[in-house]
Amino acid sequence: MEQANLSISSFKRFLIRFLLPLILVATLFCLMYDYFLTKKIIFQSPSSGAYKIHRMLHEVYVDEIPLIGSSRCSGSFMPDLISKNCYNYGIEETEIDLINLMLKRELKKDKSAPIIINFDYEFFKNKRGDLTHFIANINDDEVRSYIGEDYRFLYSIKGIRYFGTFDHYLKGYLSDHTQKNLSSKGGFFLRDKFSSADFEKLKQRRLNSKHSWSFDSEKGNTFVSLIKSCPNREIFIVVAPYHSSYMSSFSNISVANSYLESLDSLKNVIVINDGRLDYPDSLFLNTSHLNLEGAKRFSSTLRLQIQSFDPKILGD
Amino acid sequence: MFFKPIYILILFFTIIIDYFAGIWLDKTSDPVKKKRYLIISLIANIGVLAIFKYFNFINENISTLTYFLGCNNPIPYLSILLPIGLSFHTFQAMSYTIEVYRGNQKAEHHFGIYALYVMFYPQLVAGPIERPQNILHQFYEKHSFDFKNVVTGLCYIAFGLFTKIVIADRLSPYVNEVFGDVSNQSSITLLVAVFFFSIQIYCDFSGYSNIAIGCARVMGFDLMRNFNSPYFSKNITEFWSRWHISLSTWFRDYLYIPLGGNRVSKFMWYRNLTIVFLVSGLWHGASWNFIIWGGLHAFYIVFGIITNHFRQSLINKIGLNQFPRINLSLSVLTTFVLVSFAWIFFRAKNLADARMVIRRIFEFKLPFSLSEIALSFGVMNLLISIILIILFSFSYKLPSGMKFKNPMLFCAVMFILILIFGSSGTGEFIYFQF
Repeated sequence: MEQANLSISSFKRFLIRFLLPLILVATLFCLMYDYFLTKKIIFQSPSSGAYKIHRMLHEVYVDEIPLIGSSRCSGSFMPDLISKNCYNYGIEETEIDLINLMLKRELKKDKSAPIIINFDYEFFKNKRGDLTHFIANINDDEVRSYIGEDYRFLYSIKGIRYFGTFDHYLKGYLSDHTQKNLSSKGGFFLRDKFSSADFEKLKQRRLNSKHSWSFDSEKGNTFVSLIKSCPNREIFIVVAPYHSSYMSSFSNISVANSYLESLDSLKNVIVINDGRLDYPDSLFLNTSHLNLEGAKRFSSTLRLQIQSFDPKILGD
Repeated sequence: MFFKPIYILILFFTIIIDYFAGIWLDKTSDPVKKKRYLIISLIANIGVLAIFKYFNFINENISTLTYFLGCNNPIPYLSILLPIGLSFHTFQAMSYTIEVYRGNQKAEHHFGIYALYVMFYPQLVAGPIERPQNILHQFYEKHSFDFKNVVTGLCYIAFGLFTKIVIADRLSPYVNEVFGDVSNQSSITLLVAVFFFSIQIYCDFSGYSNIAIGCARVMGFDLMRNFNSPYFSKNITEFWSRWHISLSTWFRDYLYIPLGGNRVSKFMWYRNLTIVFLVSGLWHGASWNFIIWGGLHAFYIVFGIITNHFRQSLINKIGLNQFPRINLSLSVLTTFVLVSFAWIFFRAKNLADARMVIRRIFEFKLPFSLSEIALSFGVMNLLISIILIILFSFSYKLPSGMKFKNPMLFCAVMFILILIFGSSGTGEFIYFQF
């Protein structure tokens, strides 16, 4: 009996002097950490995927022209050189599902500004981007269903949801707030010096690999029906330049281009295929991405190309 | 290293054999019979280990030998998986029968208690390898909820998780990348990777041991200490008295001393040391890398003994004995470098890779570029890793037995560090493979 009483009093002591204070401190810290990381780091990193998704889902800028796409979008389109109204929503490893999600939310906004989508030949490959883009936006039902089976219960717990991701967000924040690279209106451009020797290796690696266009009709139909659902919004589907070695390694590029032609036939769509623009090696970061100089040149060209359809469409 | 439900039968087999061997050993006073029972038990335990861990390794070497002799090896390879933690619970089981044989431990008649001794879950898969004298009697004691035990146990667990998740798992991707492609790494990258691996394996293994000790302590059980700041050792002998203490003492008690220890001629003493370390290397894994790793440690110790007098004279001659702190720091640094060098064999995929790492390090191509050293993980990751290692190096100041004035605060700090700096990967414990 005495032993049992000792045990109970010991447990009470454990609860009061250890467990409850620990839970209290941990909870307080989690809340503060979550607030700090979300508001002061993630949403203060304009080129991070998490911020871009948040901005697309929750913020409305009537005149804004969104640039939607993958890392090829974020690193090839310089918003300032295209239009003062442009904002780059390019997120690495974006594929058709995320394009559809972003487009759906953009089209829900009461706007008439055009939309620019950077088209990748690998849009229909099944790959979901880094989860860190989505954790900060997990409360949104569509984001939650987008990450599907990768969703974990822990992502709903404030603070805990960021376990193991601090470095990633801090790195993004520092990239945006230091002069090492150029970050502007969501666009992110590396200032790395071009090395022809390194590029030659990348070229050879690309030439030794094989790629092919694949298509998912269900996802493609969703994309088309979204475009059709908003005829008052002009949509530019742009293929940013690829290096010639990338094109050579592609086995069925003509099928992909036929698909692009079918999109071009839609009433509110204009396809600008600059995939084969003859740029020198020195304008590329690798065989599928332009570097800073390449982005400058391409963005200036794109501005003229868009204006050739309608000089006033960019709003400046 | 895997767990298959059917493998529980292996455990069951050794438990039955050792349980009855213990009882028979206790009952008989005939030394011949005693020896016979002990041998049966040892054969059963070592036999299981030999089949699952060493059969294919031995067979592979027979194949190499027969190839050179111009004939074929007719023995087929076994398609079996190494059961998780086999080396650990086999050694724990062996220590029981040996202790009963020596008369240091009464045979355990309660089958459940004996099975619990072998399978006590906190230390089943990676130790500490307990002795029956330390743990068996604890299974008979009544364990009621005890504030001090629970809180101390939780502090051990928190610290173990910190060293595993924050340090070891953070260093692991870097080490894996470098050792995965050693031919394309610079000298300095390899040096950083070797240094990181030295820290990683310590944090990984001591992390597991602390979690095991903590889990047991929460339930009121005391497990033996397995690490005691080994990287602060002044020499390799001291290192082995602070690293994986439960295994070192196992080899000391059950192999080194029976071989004659140091109470024999010098040559036999060196031979005993060499045997112990070669067997220790083989215990870790069935590969020449582990044997060389053990052999290197034997060489360090024997060389240290032989040159001890000369080194002391040299220290006195150059006046280093006047500066004990510098002398101590140099000894600790030298020991750390030697241990780290030996880890190359432990970590490399094979002997060829280990040789490549050593050759590349000694090419001394040391162009210092942080971004090159950081590889694809980035400079920030490298810097955070180094800061965390420095922070961890102060852990020797933690109170002995994790007895904090404010344990809640310690656990809260560990929680915060794990949350911010923890790695979310699924890196398993390195020692699970043994």
